[in-house]
Amino acid sequence: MNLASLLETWGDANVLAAGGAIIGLVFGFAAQRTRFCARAAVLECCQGQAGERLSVWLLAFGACLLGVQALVAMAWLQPSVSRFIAQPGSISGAVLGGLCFGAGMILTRGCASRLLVLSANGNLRALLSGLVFAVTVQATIGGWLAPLRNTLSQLWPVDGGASRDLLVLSGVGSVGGLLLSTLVFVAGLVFFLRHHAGRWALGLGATVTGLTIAMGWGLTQAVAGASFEPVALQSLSFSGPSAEWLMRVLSTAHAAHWGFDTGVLPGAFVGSLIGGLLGREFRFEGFKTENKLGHYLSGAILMGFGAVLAGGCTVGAGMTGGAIFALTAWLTLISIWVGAGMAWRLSQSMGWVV
Amino acid sequence: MPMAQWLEAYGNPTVLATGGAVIGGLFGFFAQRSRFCLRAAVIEFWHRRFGDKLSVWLLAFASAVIAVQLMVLMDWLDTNNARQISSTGSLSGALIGGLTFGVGMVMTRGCASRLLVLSANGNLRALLSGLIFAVTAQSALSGVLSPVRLSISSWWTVPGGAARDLLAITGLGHSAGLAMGGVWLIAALYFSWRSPNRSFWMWVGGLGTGLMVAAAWGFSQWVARESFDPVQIQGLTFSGPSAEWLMRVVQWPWPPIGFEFGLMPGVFLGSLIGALIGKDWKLEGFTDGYSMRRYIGGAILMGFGAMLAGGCAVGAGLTGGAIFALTSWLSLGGMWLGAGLTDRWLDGGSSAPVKPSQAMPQSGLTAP
Repeated sequence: MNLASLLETWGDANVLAAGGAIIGLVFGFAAQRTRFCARAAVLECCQGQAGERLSVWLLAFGACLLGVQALVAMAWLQPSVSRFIAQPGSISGAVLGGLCFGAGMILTRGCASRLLVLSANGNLRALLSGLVFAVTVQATIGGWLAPLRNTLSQLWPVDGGASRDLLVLSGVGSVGGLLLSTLVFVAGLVFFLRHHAGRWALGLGATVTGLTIAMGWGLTQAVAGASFEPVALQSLSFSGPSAEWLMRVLSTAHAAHWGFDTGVLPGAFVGSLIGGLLGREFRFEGFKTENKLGHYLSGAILMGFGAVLAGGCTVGAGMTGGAIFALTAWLTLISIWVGAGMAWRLSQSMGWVV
Repeated sequence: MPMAQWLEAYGNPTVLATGGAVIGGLFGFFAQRSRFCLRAAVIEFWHRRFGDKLSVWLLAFASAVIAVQLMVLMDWLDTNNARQISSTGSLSGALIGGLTFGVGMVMTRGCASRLLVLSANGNLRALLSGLIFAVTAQSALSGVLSPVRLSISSWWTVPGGAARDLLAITGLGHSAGLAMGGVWLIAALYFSWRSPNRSFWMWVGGLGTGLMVAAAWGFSQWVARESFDPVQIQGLTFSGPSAEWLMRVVQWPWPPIGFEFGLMPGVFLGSLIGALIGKDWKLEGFTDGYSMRRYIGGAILMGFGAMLAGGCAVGAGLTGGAIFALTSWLSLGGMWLGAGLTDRWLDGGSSAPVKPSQAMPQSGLTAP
């Protein structure tokens, strides 16, 4: 099968959307089966019980880094062209957005991708939070909250190019990136085996979850190389696509063109649904106690605003951007952890149950 | 006449939006105080318990009809210019949309305006259902659901003009419309007099709610008469404005503002003030998964139904009903029927299975 002829027959947009759907499906399935969740990982750290969930997240993160850096080493991916590095970014946006996102994900009991995975398992709390998240994301991209986002981003902007590339900034280069990624993956694997000895399926699932990020990068780079049209390099993300889908539902005139992002959301939903049905975990679930709804609403709003300000969610910035060692993506990832930790501490000291 | 000066000083959009906010504020206040709710009235009707909810709704409906018909008779209002009468309508859309809306209204335990009023009282269930309602309404207006809406509407259309005007079709004039309003008012007064829960606010709130519906017609006609630019006369409705407000939140730059721009925040504020005065403000959420499924499904049905029928319980039922638009009456009939059937099918024709904690507060379980 030849990619160029595929593109000629079906067109770039459809190939990208189909690829996004397949990769999203794999991600949704693997993430559902492994209960992959950044929020749970952060909470384990905060509670000093680092293990079960953190090891899954770390293994996935390691696999994602190693997979993407292997692509780079084989010259199948040029991260310097991607928007994470080529375009001007914002340090202040990454830090403030990450903090907002982290605090929000504590309140909603799951980050953006986790909400999607849970909604497909019949969790109506997650579905509603996801809707509020999508509305906030769209309002932050092109609506009411856009001026506020711009103001916060301009506090400390950063140029595109080398000054956003951590591997160039630190001087370790691409070899260093590959070594570092290998180190993270091996550490993740060792940590995983200490907590889940013999659970090969779980380990495989976590690895696959991480590798879907590399698949996304690889696919868009391959299409960009074979197509005559300009194609943006990207991989999995959940904030942009949810806003895109919201607008598609709301107004045909404002719908975005088809692309990689279009396939990701339905793909991940179906993947998680299959996982939930196979594992007999599909169950309609709503709010158990009355007073939680406010937490979910405010959390989803914080998370939506933070995701756009930071340029991505835990997956979109943390893993997709982190794997190509974009400066802002790492700042976002760290801020998400710090924000989530602070929000958890605050909720503990105030006696709120989240 | 100060209107011409206002229009010159502030411009049409600002005057219209301010009027929308003031009328909406009073509507919200009266509706909150009287617990005005079509859903509760319909359920009382089907249970043959002609109590306070039905009285409030009838009071509002009768006063809207009387005030609007009086304005027409005094040449203050020309209902022939109203969109509900002048433009091409759809009988199939009105019927199916009304039925759908009625089903959804019973599932979410409140119609669109009631959800807005309750949201302002701290009811987060109503707030979320309102968001889903707005998303679906906008989607039916110009998004993925709009082809479905257009195809259902095209099944059976009716030309604009006399063919959509019930008073013209039946050959009765506006005096007969006024007389009918009078009959309903007497019925409303009779039921409310018999009602064990009658109170000051039930009367004042019910009448006030209806008068605000008429005031919206009168106000926009006033602006239209004094303005040099064409202004569409319109009444209170909640489906269009909530969709418009959703798009305002997610999109920049804003579309031009108008009557509807002021309406939504006005109603919210009015209801909030009503709740604070009456000490009804209470933060409330969902209690279980079953009720969430029900609220989500109902809000979707209501949003689609409202756009298909050309208005919600207030927009089609009161606003369109008061000018005797054929499609509005069909929608209203559909709502009564859909709500009655759903109540029988979903709640077994009795209000017993609903625990008090799950119900919308004061939205009227029919049990005394």
